[in-house]
Amino acid sequence: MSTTRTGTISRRSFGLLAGTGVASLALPTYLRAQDKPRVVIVGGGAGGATAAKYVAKDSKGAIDVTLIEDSDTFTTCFFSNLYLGGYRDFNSITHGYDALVSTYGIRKVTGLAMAVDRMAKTVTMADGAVVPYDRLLLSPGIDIIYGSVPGYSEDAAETAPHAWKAGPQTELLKARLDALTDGQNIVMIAPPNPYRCPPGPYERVSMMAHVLKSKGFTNSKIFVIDPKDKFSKQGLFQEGWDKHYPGMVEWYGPDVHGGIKSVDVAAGTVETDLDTFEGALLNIIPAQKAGAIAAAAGVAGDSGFCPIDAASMRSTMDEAIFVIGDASIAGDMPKSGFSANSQAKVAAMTIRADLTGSKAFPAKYSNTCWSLIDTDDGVKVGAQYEPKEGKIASVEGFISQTGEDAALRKATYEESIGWYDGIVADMFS
Amino acid sequence: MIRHCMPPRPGGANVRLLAGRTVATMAAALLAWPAAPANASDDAALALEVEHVVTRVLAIDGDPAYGEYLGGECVTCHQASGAASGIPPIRGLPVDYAVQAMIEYKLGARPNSVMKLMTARLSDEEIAALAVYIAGMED
Ligand SMILES: Cc1cc2nc3c(=O)[nH]c(=O)nc-3n(C[C@H](O)[C@H](O)[C@H](O)COP(=O)(O)OP(=O)(O)OC[C@H]3O[C@@H](n4cnc5c(N)ncnc54)[C@H](O)[C@@H]3O)c2cc1C
Repeated sequence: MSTTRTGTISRRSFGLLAGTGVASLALPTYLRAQDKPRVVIVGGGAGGATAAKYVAKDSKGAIDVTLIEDSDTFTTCFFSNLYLGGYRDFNSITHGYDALVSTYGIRKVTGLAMAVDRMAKTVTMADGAVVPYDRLLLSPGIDIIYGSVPGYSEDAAETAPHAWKAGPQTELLKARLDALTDGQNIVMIAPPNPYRCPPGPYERVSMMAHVLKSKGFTNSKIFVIDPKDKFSKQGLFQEGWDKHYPGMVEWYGPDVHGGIKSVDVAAGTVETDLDTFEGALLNIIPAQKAGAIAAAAGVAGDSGFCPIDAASMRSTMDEAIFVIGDASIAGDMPKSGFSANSQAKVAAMTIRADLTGSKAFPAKYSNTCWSLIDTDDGVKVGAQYEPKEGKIASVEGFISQTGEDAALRKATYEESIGWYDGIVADMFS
Repeated sequence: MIRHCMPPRPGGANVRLLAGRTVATMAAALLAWPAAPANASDDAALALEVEHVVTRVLAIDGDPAYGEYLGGECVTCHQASGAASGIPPIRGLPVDYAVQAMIEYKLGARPNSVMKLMTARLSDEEIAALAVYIAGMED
């Protein structure tokens, strides 16, 4: 990444020169190139990678695009449940940024963005580097609120993984799952709303049950302790669990468990009002908020997520900042990779219109979430969204039906593979 | 430049406009995808409606810039490169074929629920714009 470093330094020195009043016309031409409007994107995930690509691609070199991402590679949460289930290997859900740099001329800065100076319009990196912007787009995903589950902590996650950010946590959960023996149980604490990927916990339950069943470990059980009284695609998942994993999955809503009192990851217990649940494996998925940079920039609201203008994904708190993906309050849209990708295109179009005067069309958003219940048994839910009365509102939708035939479920699964390859190509190539 | 202003072909809405006039491999790949539910031939009214709307849309000059924006929604699943796995490629489809397919999804003559969703609210102008974009993806 030496080009990245050099790029950052020259941009910094330009910032200093400009700050001391040197007229840009007097600059040598290689620095004059920096007169192009600058878009800085924090977060190279589903939202940020897509936004970086679309701003760079569609502005055809007229905008200088910098993508700040802490990692060298991105492991998708989407299909990470299929990795748990043994349908994908880890490499197949991990992707690099090379094409964004080489094909679209995006400058990738690898490191953690720590602060945003909204007056000076700069982002400060953990190593002290300062990156100036004309428009800043934040797509930092979520941060886990460990304290929302009494007894849970970042340290405890090394024993009882959340695996709600893909990477080492996901590999840890897989290793722990694969090490279970027949009769050993899993306890999952599902997250409260709003959280990333509404059907995700229940697809994960399905994939963990699939692994146990494939080994003949049908004496094992998965207890799901849920703070919600209902969940996404509930009828479809419960039908699937009864069909494929009879007696193996027990889901408890708050009216039955009465409240989650505490977890003890060393003992492997989850205490509720009703009872204490024991598991050789605990998967604790706490409450969530926007990634820390959103609060550091002062664009997160009381809920921990960021209010946006429904027609553009522009922060309602700063017109030079856009927030997309899980970090945003996107009305009826679920927090999904598909949603983040869709929001990225609206934000990219608006940013180009701001900076180059290109035409902006009315915003439209869409989402579809596929989930796998067992081999060749896929289901999906989708909707289209438009800005309506100040929020992003669902205007049309569908969901798979219970009792669908095997051929349709298989076609749905195959379609999800096409979607995965499609969205990953849309983000990274 | 108005590549799509070819007259609608005679023979009814379910005639596959692509067959025999484009790259054979692409045609084969597309033909593997269901065009219509088995009872579609019974549903003469639906076929007529499709034909009627197709004719109307093909008479419109699609706006390529609008098509490119709207097409952002397509390439989340249909890879811009034309590569495909589990979802058929759309890159470079002829305008009349793309128009026909979108209208068949919209009106329910093709069964896929995602495509029905994606086309449900498209106006004639938007379908025309998308078709111009899709046809031009190869350029
Ligand atoms: C188990 C599971 C299954 C899922 N399945 C699906 C699915 O099937 N379909 C679907 O559509 N969605 C799915 N999702 C949801 C999807 O993963 C997220 O909604 C999506 O990734 C959100 O995109 P984002 O851009 O907001 O955040 P992310 O994709 O998380 O990207 C954020 C990036 O920002 C970086 N970052 C954050 N802060 C900083 C900083 N300060 N400096 C530098 N870099 C920073 C992070 O390293 C990260 O790479 C699933 C999620 C989970 C957990």
